[in-house]
Amino acid sequence: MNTPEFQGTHLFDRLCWAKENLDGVQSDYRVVYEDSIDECAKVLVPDPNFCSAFLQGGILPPVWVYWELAKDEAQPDFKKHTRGYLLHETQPIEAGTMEQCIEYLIMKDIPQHIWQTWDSGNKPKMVICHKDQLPSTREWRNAWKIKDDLTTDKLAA
Amino acid sequence: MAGKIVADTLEHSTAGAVDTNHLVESIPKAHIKSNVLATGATSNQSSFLISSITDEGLGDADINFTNAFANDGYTAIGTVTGIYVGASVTTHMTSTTSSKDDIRIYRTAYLDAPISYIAIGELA
Repeated sequence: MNTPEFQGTHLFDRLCWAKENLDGVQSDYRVVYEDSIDECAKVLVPDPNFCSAFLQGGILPPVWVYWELAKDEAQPDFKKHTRGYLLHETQPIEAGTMEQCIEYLIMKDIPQHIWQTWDSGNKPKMVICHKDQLPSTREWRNAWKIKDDLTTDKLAA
Repeated sequence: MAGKIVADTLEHSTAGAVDTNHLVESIPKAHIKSNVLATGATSNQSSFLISSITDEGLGDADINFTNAFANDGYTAIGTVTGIYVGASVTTHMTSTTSSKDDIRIYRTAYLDAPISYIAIGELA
């Protein structure tokens, strides 16, 4: 199915079209990251409808749009978004792979200071893995950490 | 788009009129039914306007939106689903922004459980 020409269409309406016309795709990828040495590891779980919209192409805005809105919101005098048009009027991105979808989600939903410096310490601050590489139960959930023996030149969790 | 009605006001013959912007703004924009925090490994069972869930620990998650709200003042309601009687979902915890809601699940202590959640408000 071809995506309609959506540039200029409100993102909400584009997502309505996607929900109606596309089957959700549940990714097996998970992104594990640590934001603080005092906190447990966090796990980002992609949404199936978001993944299907990304794989389809022509629906989602470029990720830099979200960064611009986040910059606006970080201003001390922020009250309300005034550049929401960036979401709706910027040319949507083309179709991509599931791996590119995960990269997009990392840059959208994980704090920039994590993914920009993921490999700058003694061990990686962020790891992409498959869901079956996570613990199978949530026992001791608040003690989950990225393995200490993992190095930044090894890609497996 | 087929079947489109454009109207700024709806008026009833006796009951008065309402501006449609209130109607548009007050419908649920984002929703999710998810067992991510219950099983740790599975998926969102139903959702809209959600890009991901971040499992941040026991009974602790961020719900990330694909279309940000106008600000962090949107209304959000969450509940646990299934057998977790007496548990509650608190929304708008400390790291909430226009593009994510920081939620907790609690029943005498933080708790993992499946959730249902909706958010209502003006979008960016």
